[in-house]
Amino acid sequence: MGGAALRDILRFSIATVTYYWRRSLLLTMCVAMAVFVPLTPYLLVRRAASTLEQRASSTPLMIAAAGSKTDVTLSALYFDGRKHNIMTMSEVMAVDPRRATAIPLHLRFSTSGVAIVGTTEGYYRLRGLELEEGTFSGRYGDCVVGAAVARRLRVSPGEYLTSDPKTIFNLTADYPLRIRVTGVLSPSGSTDDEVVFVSMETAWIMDGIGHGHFQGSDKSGSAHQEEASHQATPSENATEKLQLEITNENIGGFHFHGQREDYPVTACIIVPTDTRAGTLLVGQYSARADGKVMIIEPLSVVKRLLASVLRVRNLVLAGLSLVTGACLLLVVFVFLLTFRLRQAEFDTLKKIGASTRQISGMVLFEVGLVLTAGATIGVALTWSTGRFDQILLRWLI
Amino acid sequence: MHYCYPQTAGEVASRVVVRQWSIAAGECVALIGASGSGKTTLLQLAGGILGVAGGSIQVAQQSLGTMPEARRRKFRLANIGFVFQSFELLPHLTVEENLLLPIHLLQPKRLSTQVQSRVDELCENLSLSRSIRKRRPDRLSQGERQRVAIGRALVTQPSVVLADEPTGNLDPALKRSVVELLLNQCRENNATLVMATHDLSGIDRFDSSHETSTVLQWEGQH
Repeated sequence: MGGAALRDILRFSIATVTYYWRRSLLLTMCVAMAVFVPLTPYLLVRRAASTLEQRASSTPLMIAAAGSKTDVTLSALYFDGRKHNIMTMSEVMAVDPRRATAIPLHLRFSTSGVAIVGTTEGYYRLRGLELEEGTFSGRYGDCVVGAAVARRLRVSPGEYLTSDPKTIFNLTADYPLRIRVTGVLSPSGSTDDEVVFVSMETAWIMDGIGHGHFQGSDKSGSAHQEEASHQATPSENATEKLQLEITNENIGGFHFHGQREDYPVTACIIVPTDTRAGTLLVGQYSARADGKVMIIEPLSVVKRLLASVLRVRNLVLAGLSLVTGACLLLVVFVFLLTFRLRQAEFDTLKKIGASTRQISGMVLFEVGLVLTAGATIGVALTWSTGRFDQILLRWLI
Repeated sequence: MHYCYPQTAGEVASRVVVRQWSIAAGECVALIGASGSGKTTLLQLAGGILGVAGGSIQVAQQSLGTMPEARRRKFRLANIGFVFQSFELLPHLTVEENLLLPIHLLQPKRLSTQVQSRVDELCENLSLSRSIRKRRPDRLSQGERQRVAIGRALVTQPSVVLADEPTGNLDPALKRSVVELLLNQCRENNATLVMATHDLSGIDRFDSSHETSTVLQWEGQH
């Protein structure tokens, strides 16, 4: 069949599809649904699983206070606000720097519902995070924000965020702290875009471990300062004020109480210098008798979690495949039915002199057009739901 | 020549036999007979739509009786034009596409200017204006539909035109004009016309007329 013949047949087929547009539309949507329904969950789960595994595999080891490995892993990787037992800074300091780099994480606070992550510069290096604008935190009370947070909260360097109060009823609890945005991170396509990073010291100030004082006559304080008695240091007099914002003028008055070894840490990412060092660390922590701290291999935790998710996915896909099969069967039946109804048209073509090949060509092109249009719409719909994989990821964890 | 009707279980076989029937080239013939007398069968045999069971049938110096189905189809496409009682236009094609359908099926290539001008002339003769040519059959009157069907039968300049009760679905006023049109077009193209009809009005315009009963005989159940 030559090019002109194919063009003619295609033209006749297009004319048929547009003339019977209601039937064509119904069949096209059926095919689109048959493609979209099983493909979307399959791809979304696959993408979410891949993202989970990727982040877990870039986090070689972690230590945290004894408890649920899954909870602490998801909390440290995705900052999802799960509560977990606290360990102390002494565990972080105990990591031999010749064997590994320890990156502590403090995950307790939030600002406008966005998690505040207390950590060290090592975290930015580990995740390859770079600044889009501004600088990294330079002093207590500074923060850098993830790209998505900057967009959502509409903040840029030089502006301020205030940490959310843990409770509005207990006046002796942690005070909200105004933190200065010094930088905005470049988009990384990970959860790091969704959080605010502060130094460990800033996180401890929010915890109430570090604080500052100044005399009531001092006019350099911020307008956001509040008058309050100091609960932790009873020796100080009532004219002193608790600082809720750290400025260049009052930073000198900030100090920490207690021993650094006792300060709280949610988890600590361990980056071993090599495989041997990693193996030794796993052995060392596994052999610890006190059971206060556990060592976690995030990738194996995530893989265990995904194994369950994938089992459920396969079950769902099996069900959806039946729906797809039924849908395609319906398409076949509707086609057969309409071809039977259009038998007079085919008879006319035969009487005029059309060959069986030409008539079959028209019918096949017609079916092909509907299938192609339906499949294209189905794939386009699936593609458009790709941006929901982060939402699914949140739901999965 | 004879033709056997396909029979179902329990049915007695029936067949039509044509002893001899000849029509000269360029002759316009009316085939007259009541409904069910075998007019359509005879036209379909002459057009090669139905294959003969025995004997021979010569159309435009070609023996259709011995021709295989595929060759018969090609021969029909190139040499025979059909006009049906119920027009049988394809509903999803425009008037122009319906007119050009046999040409596209016959020689699937870009239309030459010669063919295009012939189609324009044919449309003019059939009073099919430019606006009508863009419409689909469902937006045409009965008369317009039959004019399109006549145009489709003549577009390949066939040597034989077979018309199966082309006025059967038309009102009396239109019948005469359609018959006139068909005769004029066939005579202009020097085509042989066989028109089956049970309506005797306008018979005088044909070169000759034949009763079905004199042309064919039935054997078996009828």
